[in-house]
Amino acid sequence: MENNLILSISNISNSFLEGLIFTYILFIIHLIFSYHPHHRLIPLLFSTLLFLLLVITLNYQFINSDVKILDIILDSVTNSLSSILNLIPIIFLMSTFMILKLTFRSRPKDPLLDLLESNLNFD
Amino acid sequence: MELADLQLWFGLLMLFSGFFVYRMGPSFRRSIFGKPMIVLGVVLTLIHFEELSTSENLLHAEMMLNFPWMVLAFIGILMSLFGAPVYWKRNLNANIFGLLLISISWIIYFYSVFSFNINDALNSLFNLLGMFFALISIAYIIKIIESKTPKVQQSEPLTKNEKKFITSILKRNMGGK
Repeated sequence: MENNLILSISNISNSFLEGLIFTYILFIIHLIFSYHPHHRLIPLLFSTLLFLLLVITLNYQFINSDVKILDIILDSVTNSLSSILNLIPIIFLMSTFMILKLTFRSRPKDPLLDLLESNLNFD
Repeated sequence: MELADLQLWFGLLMLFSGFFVYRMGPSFRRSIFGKPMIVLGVVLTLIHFEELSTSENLLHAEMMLNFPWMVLAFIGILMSLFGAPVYWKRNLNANIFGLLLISISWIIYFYSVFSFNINDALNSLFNLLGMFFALISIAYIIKIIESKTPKVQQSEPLTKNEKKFITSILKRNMGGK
């Protein structure tokens, strides 16, 4: 029975909101750790925080009202990382095809590259 | 939350922040901390001496399951790219070794990791859709904030003295009359 489709609207919207929460958290970490004085950090940080709070409130109000807010955040990160791990084989499949294509192609004739190799011994 | 759980979350924070510190162009001084932070993050995330709580344990188990084939695949891709005739001449040994590593990582993946469950797949799909929408909303936020940035005023044309000064520099360096 494990493969039966038992996803409800609640599960689907929970997954969707968890993806949103994870990305907003990641973006906030990114903003803090890539701080640069010429970045307009404060408005970006506050608007992202606002969106994050909105999504957490939606999740808490309509789906996980019996769960602590910290658990909502941690579960979001856990499930989103699992989803990324599920996606990686697809990316790896595409990378494998690209690597095979690169392996069996011959390098295009380029007079500039030939010049570099003959003059500078550039390998 | 137990100490082991805190270690896992702190490790993940270090991993992501290390990547962001390492990747960012303008923060050259900080970027030297990137690689050590990533390594520390990986170690703290993957190695535990105490029992983790349920959801953290699931995440840890999934990461440990995927770690070997992902490392092999990464090294294999790097080796193949090094050996492929992209910028350099073909290095057949590196190319074949890389392809061998890629094949081994596929074998490990299919024997020890691969399983298909329609519910998990749909959950992941909607989760990734959520991430995609979040990225779009972030792009819109950036666009709105950038559009509100006051424009830099156009600079004044050069004065007579400044023109003379620039002309003398150009003459000194490039010659001419």
